[in-house]
Amino acid sequence: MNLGRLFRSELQFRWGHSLLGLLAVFLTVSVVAAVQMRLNWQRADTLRVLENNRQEVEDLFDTLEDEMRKITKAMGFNVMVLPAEQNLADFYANDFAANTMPEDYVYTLANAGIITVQHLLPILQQKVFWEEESSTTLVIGVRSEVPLADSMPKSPLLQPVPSGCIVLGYELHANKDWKEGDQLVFQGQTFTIHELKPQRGNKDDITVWIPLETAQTLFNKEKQISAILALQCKCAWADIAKVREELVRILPGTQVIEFSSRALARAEARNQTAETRKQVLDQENRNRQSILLREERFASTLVPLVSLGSMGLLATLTFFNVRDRKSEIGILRAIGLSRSHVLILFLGKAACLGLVGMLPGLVAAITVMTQMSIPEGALPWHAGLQAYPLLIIAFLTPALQCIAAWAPAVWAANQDPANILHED
Amino acid sequence: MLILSQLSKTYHRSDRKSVEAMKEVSLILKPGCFASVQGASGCGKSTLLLTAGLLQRPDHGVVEFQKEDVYALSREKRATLRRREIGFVFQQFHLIPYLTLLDNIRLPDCVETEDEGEQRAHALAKQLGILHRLDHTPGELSTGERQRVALARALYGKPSLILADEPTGNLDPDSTQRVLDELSRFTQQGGMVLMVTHDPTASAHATHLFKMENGVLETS
Repeated sequence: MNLGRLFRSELQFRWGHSLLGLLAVFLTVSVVAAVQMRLNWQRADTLRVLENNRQEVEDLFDTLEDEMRKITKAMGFNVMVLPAEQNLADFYANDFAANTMPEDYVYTLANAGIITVQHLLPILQQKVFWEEESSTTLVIGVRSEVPLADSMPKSPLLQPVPSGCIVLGYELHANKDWKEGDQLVFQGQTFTIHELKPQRGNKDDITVWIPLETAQTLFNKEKQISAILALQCKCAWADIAKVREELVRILPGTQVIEFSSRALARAEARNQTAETRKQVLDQENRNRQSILLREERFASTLVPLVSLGSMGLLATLTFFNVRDRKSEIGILRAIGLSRSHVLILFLGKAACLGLVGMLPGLVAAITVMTQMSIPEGALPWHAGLQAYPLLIIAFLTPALQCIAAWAPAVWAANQDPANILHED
Repeated sequence: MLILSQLSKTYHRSDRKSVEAMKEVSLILKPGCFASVQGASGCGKSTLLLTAGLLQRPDHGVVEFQKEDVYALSREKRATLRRREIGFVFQQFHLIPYLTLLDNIRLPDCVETEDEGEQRAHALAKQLGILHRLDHTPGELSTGERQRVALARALYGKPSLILADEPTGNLDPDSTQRVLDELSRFTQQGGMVLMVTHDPTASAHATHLFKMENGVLETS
């Protein structure tokens, strides 16, 4: 005879009570383990879907990039018309044209009726020391595009800077507290900030754009320009030699260089594609994570609710069990069982119910998982079967049952045997 | 030896009426002594028995058992002393309904397993005439048989003192005789019995008779 035999016999004797306790444990473990496995499966399948999607998007964008490369092969190119006396070595070294030519050249070019050039943009460039901010900057005076004669109006490639405004490259505003609409002083004149450019990683970062007329006045170069940008030079037969030949024929006092290659355009297109690819993948990732989060939130409500319900039921059952066994507690204490023995008697019973109810609960949860409807191509149900969470459930179940039974068990242990025996 | 000295116990009830269950009760019980305390219901007999059984601390007085002031001991030590030295027999038997007779007799083994416990349980069952019922549960027994099981359980731990509360209260004459004979035999073997009863037949087996009235114990 021992305590184990005592509570085993009692479990059998009060089988209805024991069955109810087992049922509570069984249902709780079934629900908790099934939810846990379902979440594990969902996580694993989400990873699979994301990986598949990533691969699909990668393939799609690889195709797109290839198509873009083919398209940009036929894309037009950009050339710059410079004064004939401009030393090209200086131009490449300083990254701007110091010499100027009459602004009229651009109108001559525009009215010449050439068909290979899509956009014409006159600019005046000057490298200056910005006295107010103590920094060297490249100033570009720009205006709106000059319309081409005998040609349909085109959407502008570059936006002009409004009168009285200024556009700043990244390095010029990076450490300042400026924002668009603020006013600043540049070379003694007050300008309104029209735009603050993001970082480009080239000379644009130290460039200031102002209206062409303002630049001409500022540098005392009235009606003068440094260069004409002929953008998107394009026709079926066009190549750089052909365009150069055509432009120099119209403007004899000039020279022509290609300033933005097709390779650069292709690179920009590829960068844009890569950025879009990343955005598409991120969006898909966010969507899947959102679904997973929703399921996790549901589980985080359901699991504590079911667990607390089960613990509450077991606490109530233990309370009634103590009440029913008062006389037994009295005689057990009289024959020499201590309070801790009585405590063990009731907690042992709770742990026993936890252990016995837990095993079929786990089996039921696994059975539910096997019956779960799984979309075609998704991972099999056993992807959610992980030993570690199940071991935690197996360990926690009897422990939580003991916690639930703790208060009534302590109440039982604190029963005064003299009172009980007296009452009887 | 059990020595009760000047024991007093008052129950304070919620209606502010106090009941004095024991008033300076003194009693000495030596080995071989079978003491019977007679008295009407509510006179304090059960309080006396539970106090002697180390289950109820008196308000005043000392309970000395085997030369130790038992209420100076910790609860755990009192439980151990009770387990090893004292057997209880109650009018309501207090058998565990879901255990067989054998397990009921061996109930003290829950804490401390007795050497050759099963043999001893069988011997006691034979001595008390319930050997053929060892696999039965208390619900399947007659009242007399139940009391004999309770007596066997009390004797199982080889106690030096048996405290019996109306042990024959629910029994027929034959069963009463059998139980009293066993208690007498226990005292003849050096044990001590303190029995509270209002049954004169039961008291006739005692070597020392006491009478209790309104919490006061007197020699009869």
